[in-house]
Parts: sequence; C-alpha cells; structure tokens
Amino acid sequence: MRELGHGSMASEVHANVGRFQVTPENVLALHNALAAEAKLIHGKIAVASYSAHVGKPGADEVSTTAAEGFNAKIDSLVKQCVAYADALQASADNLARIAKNYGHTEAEINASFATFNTGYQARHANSAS
Amino acid sequence: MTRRTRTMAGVFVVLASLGLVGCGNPPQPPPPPAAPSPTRPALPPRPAVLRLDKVNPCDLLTPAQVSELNTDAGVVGSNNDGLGSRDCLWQRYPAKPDDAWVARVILKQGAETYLSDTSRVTQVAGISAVETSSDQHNPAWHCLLYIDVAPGQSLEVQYSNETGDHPGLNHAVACQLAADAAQLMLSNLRAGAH
Repeated sequence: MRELGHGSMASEVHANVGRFQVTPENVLALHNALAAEAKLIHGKIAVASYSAHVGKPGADEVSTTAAEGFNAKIDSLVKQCVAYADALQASADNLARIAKNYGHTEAEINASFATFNTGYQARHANSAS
Repeated sequence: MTRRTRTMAGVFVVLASLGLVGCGNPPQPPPPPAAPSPTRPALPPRPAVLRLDKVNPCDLLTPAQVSELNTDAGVVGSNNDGLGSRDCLWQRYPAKPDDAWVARVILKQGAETYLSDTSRVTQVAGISAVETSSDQHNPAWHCLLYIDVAPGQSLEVQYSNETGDHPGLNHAVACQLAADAAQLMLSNLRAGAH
C-alpha cells in the first residue's frame, strides 16, 4: 500500500492535472475522464464506507484498543478518499471553464459528459469488488 | 457499536478503486455475526414474507420514481458489504444537494442482526425495520434502515449526504428520506411478488 500522508492523494491530483496539455480537441475528453472518476469514487464511498466498521470481538482491553485503532484508520482513509474525489471534481470544473473559453456551450459539455459517464460507471461499478 | 458484523471489506473496495490495495490481498469474508443479546427485544412478526433472492436492486425504483427523487439512474454493484450482497446506488454528484440512496439486497443476514444498543425498531410500509447509523460518518447526515422482509434476509436502504447540504438535514430527516425511498421500493417489491 502507498504511504498516505495527509492530503497526499488530493495534492497529487492537483500536481498531475497541472501538467496536462489542454487543447480545444482534448478538453472535453479530459473533463469527462476526471468528472466520471470523481463520481465513481464518490459513489464507492457511499456504497462501501457506511458498511466499514471493525467490531470488538470481546470486551477485553486488547479488543477495544484494536477495534478503535482500525476504525480510526478507516475513518482517516475514507476522508482521504473524499478529498481525492473532491480534488478530481475541482479539476474537472476547471476544465469545464476552459472548455467554455474554447467555445463549447454548457449543453455540449453536459451532453458529452452524460454520454461518456453512462458507460464509464457501468464498466467500473464492480471493478474493485 | 451501532452495526454488527462490520468488516474492512467495504473500505478495501474504495481503496482498490484507487489502486491502493495489492492484488494479493483480497478482502477477507466477514466473521459470522454474533448472536443477538437475549435481553434485546425480537422484531415484531412479519405481515408477509418478501424474499429477495431474484431481486435486482436497481429495479426497486422505477425511472419515474428516480426522477421524483431528483437523482440519476442507479448503478449496480456487489459485495460492498463483504457479504456478497448486490446493491444499487442513486446519486447526482456533483450536482447539489449531495443526496445519495443505496438499496442493498442482503441474502445472508436478517434485519435482527443489526439490532444494537443504539438502534431502534421502526416501521416502513407496515414492515419492521432496524434504524441505525454508521460510526464512520456523521449520523446527522445519513441513516441506515434494515427492513425485515424475510427470514435470514434483509433489505438495506441507506440515505447519505457526504457534505450535509440537504436543507434542514439531521438524522431524523435523513431517516425520513431513507424511509420515503424504502416505501417506494417495498411497494414495487410487493407488486413484483404477485
């Protein structure tokens, strides 16, 4: 597993997206990819993290300490995932603004995303199951 | 603890989607549920049995009902609870408010499994349900219902809002939003059972 410094995944998004070569030809594709991944991860958090909890196998001190330790770690990782999805979405929002500057209308951007996203969510919904 | 038999499998699913979990570390199956405490009240008798074996969770809401909830079409998933259950997610993210509903058809655990010191028993469309919340999230922004549809099976209906931006949101409102969706699902489930 990668080292997870606080905010590291979100920072990576900002750093990597800043290196994209955005052109009028690829701006919608870049926007669609980031926005669809943000939506996928946000959904994964909704379907998986509410079920994530380590119970105490016993009432002894070790069980309590272990369960609390695992649950604190889960909580931390979930927050990292939320920050990661939000960073992807913020980058997608920036690309949508750039697309408008290139002359794409909001309707075109939304239609392009809707077409891309439907297939993306269906392909990846169970990819990590 | 508000829910029984919680595993890390769900988080592994999230982490795996981010490429953070190695291929050699598949989620482990959850431990068997602990027997309910004998001091806890049992759930009231079921008015009818609605088995979930052949239910596609995304079929529990019609397209018209999905529009009524002002959300997007459902996306099916499986094993996000570590029990092999199929689920369906309806969300509009990134549109606001950040409402999300999940329906999960649990074939391996009855609703009574989710009774705890912090849960309460309620009724949805005349069927008993265990109303509870997750320790991992702010209870004011989500609600979990485990509906007692059949022996050894339960229908989980979850409402959640990661940012708490639904107007007037608190735990009671979250549970009402979950119950409203659950009522529609049970109506469709009953119609399909005939």
